[in-house]
Amino acid sequence: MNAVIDLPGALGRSVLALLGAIGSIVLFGLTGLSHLVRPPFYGRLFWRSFVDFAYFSLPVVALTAIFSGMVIALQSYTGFARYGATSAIANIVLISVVRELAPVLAGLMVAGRVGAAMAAELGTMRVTDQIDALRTLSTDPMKYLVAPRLLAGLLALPLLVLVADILGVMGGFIVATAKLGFNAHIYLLNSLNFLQVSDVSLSLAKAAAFGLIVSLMGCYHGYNSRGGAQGVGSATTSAVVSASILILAFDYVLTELYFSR
Amino acid sequence: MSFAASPSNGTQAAPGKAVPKIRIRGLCKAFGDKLVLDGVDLDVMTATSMVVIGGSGSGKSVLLKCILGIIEADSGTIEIDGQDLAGLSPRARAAKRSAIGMLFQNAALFDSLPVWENVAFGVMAEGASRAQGRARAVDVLAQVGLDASVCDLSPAELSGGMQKRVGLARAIAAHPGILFFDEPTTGLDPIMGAVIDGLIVDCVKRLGSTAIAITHDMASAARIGDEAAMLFRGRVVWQGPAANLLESGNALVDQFTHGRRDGPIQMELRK
Repeated sequence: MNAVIDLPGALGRSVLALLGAIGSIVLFGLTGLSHLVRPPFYGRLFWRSFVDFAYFSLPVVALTAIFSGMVIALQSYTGFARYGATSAIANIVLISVVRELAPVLAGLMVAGRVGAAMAAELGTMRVTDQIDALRTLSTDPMKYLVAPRLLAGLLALPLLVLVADILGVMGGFIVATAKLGFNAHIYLLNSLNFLQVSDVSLSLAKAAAFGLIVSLMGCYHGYNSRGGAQGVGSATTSAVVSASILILAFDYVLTELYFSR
Repeated sequence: MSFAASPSNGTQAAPGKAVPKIRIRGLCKAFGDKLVLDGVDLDVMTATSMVVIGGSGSGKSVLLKCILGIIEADSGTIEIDGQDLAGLSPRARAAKRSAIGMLFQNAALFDSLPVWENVAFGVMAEGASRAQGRARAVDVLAQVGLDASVCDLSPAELSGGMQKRVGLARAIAAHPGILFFDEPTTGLDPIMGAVIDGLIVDCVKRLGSTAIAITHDMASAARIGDEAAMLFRGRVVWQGPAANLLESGNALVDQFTHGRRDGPIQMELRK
């Protein structure tokens, strides 16, 4: 009985906690971004994060994109062959990869690789007093640790996704021509004719948003981690899970905005 | 029963009396229901080394972090050179706090940077070039007994004692007017502990700095401190010359410094 009576209270507390967390994350992100326009700037740290984000994530993103393009070609062929619409496969692969799969899968892969590493690094710095030490050395941790990582995420993921767009379409092309018997010239011509600038713009806009989400979640959970090794582990898990969920949610929001124009 | 000690100075400095370098009045800080600092009053005179002792959880580290601005106090005042930090602009407050060097309990060296960049971090943050920073790091490392061969090592490649020395070098690199030491000898063998204490005393005397060290180690307290204070239940219960620590005449201090199980301090053990 008590549990039933307490239900609205528990629900209210959960909602308040959620709103508090959202507010805290937004404030954290805005504070971090505000440091991008106020000197001093840490170019060396930005470059290190950018390379880690873009260059070292390239293999995993490239493989994901190629295989996704291949699977889409194969799946759509088996489905579309029933209706004699196999000529649309080049277009389906292109739309699927460029508008959805490349940005979303690249975002998820980078969340697992870079977001987790950011959370673990900042979390370890927090629990070993390194972040407090920065303050005693006339350095704002938000400016030194967070701002360069946010900028790296914002700029690096669009580059990665551009590569993933090309490789994903190439994956579909390989399966279509090598296995399904499509003419290579016609397949490429169909793809290029169907491709619109707005598709690529949407892909890159999503990538920029997802890159920011990955960096923000990695930094936020790492920066606010507590309680030693277990806290760092929890921060890492939270960074990956929250970034993944937010990527999927924002994917819907951005797609909705795109079609409602 | 109140354990609070009357501060040697009143809340207003008497005319003609020297202004303490650090003056704390009524400092309170709670984490949820747990009151960690409950009206701390403490004066530290210029060029004096103050040792703060107290049991685990008595609020020693929180006190230092409040002065540094890492933790915001709930109430009370912190004055440096007679200026209340709360009354200063954020920029002026940051400038006051940038004159404080800190040696953390576990040294807190930056894993991602080599030793020399750790040492020169504060100097380079103030505008020194990398070449100037490296030269300064070599100079300061020599002052703590380390040669230039450690410059390019990573902190993970150093022993605990060497990490403390690098942490000390980082704390003094920018010639701070105030130095804080958080458990400087924890985790070190007695000989290395004595070496670190000796280096701390040398550095403080050479720089003419005002120092606050928090420690459980009575031998370390006697070596480092000119003055001593004891924190208990979030308040300063005794303050006096460090040389009197072992014969303070205060029951709390006597029990703590002699490590007696029985006395007014009762450890909360779950049976």
